[in-house]
Amino acid sequence: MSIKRGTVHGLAGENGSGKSTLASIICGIVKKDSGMMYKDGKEYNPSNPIDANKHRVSMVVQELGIVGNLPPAVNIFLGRTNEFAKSGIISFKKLEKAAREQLEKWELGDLPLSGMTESLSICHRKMLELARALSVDPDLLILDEISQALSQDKREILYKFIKRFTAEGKTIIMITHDLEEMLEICDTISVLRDGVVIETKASKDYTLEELKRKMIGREIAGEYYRSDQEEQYDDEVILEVENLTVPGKLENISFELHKGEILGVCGLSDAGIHYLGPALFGLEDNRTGRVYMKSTGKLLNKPKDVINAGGAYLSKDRDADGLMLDASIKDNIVVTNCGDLAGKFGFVNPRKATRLAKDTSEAYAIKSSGLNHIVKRLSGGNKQKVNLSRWLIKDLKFIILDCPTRGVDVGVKAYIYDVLKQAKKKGLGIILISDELSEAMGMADRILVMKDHKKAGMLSRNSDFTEDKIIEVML
Amino acid sequence: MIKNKVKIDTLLPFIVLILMLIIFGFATRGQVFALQNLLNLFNQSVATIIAGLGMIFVASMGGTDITHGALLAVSSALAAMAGQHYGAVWVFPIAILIGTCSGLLLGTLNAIFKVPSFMASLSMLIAYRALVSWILNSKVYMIPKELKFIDGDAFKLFALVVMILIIGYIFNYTPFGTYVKAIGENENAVKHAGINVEKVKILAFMISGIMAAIAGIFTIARVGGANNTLGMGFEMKVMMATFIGGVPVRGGMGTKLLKLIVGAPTIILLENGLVLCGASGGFTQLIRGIVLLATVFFTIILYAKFDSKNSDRKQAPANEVNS
Repeated sequence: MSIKRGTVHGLAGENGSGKSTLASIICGIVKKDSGMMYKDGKEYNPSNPIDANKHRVSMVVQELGIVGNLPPAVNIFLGRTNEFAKSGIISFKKLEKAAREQLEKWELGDLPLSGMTESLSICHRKMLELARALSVDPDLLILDEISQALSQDKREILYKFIKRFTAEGKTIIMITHDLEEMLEICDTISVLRDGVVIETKASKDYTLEELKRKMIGREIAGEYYRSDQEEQYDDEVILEVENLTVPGKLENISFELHKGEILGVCGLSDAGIHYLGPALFGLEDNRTGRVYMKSTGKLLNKPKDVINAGGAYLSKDRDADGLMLDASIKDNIVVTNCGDLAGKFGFVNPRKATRLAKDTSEAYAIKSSGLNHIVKRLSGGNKQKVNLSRWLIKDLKFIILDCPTRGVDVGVKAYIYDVLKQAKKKGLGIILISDELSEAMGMADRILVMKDHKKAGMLSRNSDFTEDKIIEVML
Repeated sequence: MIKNKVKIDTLLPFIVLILMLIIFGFATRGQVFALQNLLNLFNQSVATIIAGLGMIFVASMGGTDITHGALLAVSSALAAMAGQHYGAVWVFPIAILIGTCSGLLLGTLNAIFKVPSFMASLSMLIAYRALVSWILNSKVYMIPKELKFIDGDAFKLFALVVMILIIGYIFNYTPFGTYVKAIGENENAVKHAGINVEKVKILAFMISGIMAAIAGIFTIARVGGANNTLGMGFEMKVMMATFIGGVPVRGGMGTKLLKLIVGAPTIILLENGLVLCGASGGFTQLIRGIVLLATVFFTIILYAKFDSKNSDRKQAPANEVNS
């Protein structure tokens, strides 16, 4: 394949199709086995990322690639902090000034540069990584799954930046699972499947359907989101939330979740929607307000209460908070279920545990070489299937999902929506916290819109689900 | 391939043990295999295995408990004192009570106050040593005669088997056993599964303390009584037994009881064999260090090799390997 100067070149493909690997080879993280690369007419074969930087190639990687315990400005110039040193002592003032210049130069918006990087939100950290990639003054920039970690307003900043960058005759390679975004942003798109470039075409020659089909090599059966346009759920309230407050994170949030309802939660990046999950689950020590089961009146103050009441919570960061990456599929499924499996004297029958893991893995079509497959080696979509299935096989009453389709390809995405539809039909109450407005609009019965850590409105599927209306409430 | 991994990492401790038996078999012209010596090996392994049975809960969480040697000294000194003053029935309850309290303290420091377990147990070890000198005041407390039967070979074997069965059950067949290993894999994931991580951690340290105290009783039954130097370096022996058996240093699902049970005789054999060969104490220490480093190194290499093999295989279409 060839990539034209001054364009945005998209790489599309399912999880495991080789997009990230290709990108890693171009920017020197992974070495190629054979073949040739040319840049500006000369042979290009970077031995490591620093060498690639010298050739003015840099990349924002999919996984967060920054050091949490360093100030943001140091992260931007990581590995090159010597440039700011005088006889071995680094001037943080200079460093911060240079960082600010870097952000202003490309209009990346304001980032809090004081404090440690780990205190930044995922969204801010991604912007930080972008700033770092730009600090080597690249003329070829690779963005791997950057927009998924960004909220709507930060995405706008990103798109503006991409326009400016390419207008200067520089080139971007973009990887994203959000195909609508890809069609809009990219000039050219290459489709990869199983490590092979299937096709490269101008993006205006693609339709969304065609692109999806090319990626998975088959039609996606059925509709993607819900087809109906009405609120549909039982009158019975499962979960009641009253004046939920966590200082600095949430303020006076009240709502109720009905049986068989999907309640979407949306908001801008700093609206605080991602604080809701941990607060509801009881992970915040200093929360006030009441969260309780309507039928029994039982208060849910600790994670244990939530689990005992038939609830579950899947964090946005499934690798850090959900899965045991170095353990097998079986271990990951058993760990959330062994309390239920235990009989007299706490006995967990290993045969029953294996059976359960096997049934789960089959019921949710987890692609693997067997139950002993290490979860780290699964694709993003299959990881999420493991994470979700081990909860859904339990007899749940409600579940809190924070961005369940993050970093997941269209095939698995459609599958997850399907699973949610079925769970809804069975009467499960679902709280769907989402950065993607289209996802919430496509799946939810009602959407709770948050603004400045407060509830800004509750919109109904019956009438209010238009992008304009929701964004109006968000702002 | 995955089955291979399971095999290799469980086989490794056996390979090391057999290799050592062969080497020392030749070097000592069969002396190692003399009945008396084998009995010696067994006798010396017992306390290490018992303490290891407790340590394994902490190790599988990726934590460290190096109080074992000093705790053993404190608990058995006080237990022996209680035995002399109030009668033999008090020995076990007192020892176990002290072990439990020590574990509770260490667990609370680690789980609630977030002191790294290595630092917390190091401080406790130092304090315990001072405590032992103060309690014993250079005297020796003998174990009551009624309890001499503990040192009988048949009883020891029986007690050991019972303890292995009980701990094996807790470790392999209960939710608690799953959770300690899961904490070693990803503590956050366990927290998000709604499990009270602090409680699990404290319990693990308590079991560790209790087993150290029980190991203490077996030790004083063997040596006759408690003095100032009792259990010096014992914690290192227990750690070596755990890791030479191939238990991953970071803990997690790869932690197996069997590895410890094979590891303990291995480490004892190493010492015993070197002594039989006529090596000096210092030299024995040196070799022990080298062997421990080598085993841990090979365990890591094995895991890494398996990792790269597995990622090669990932290229195969997933449907075909679906079993």
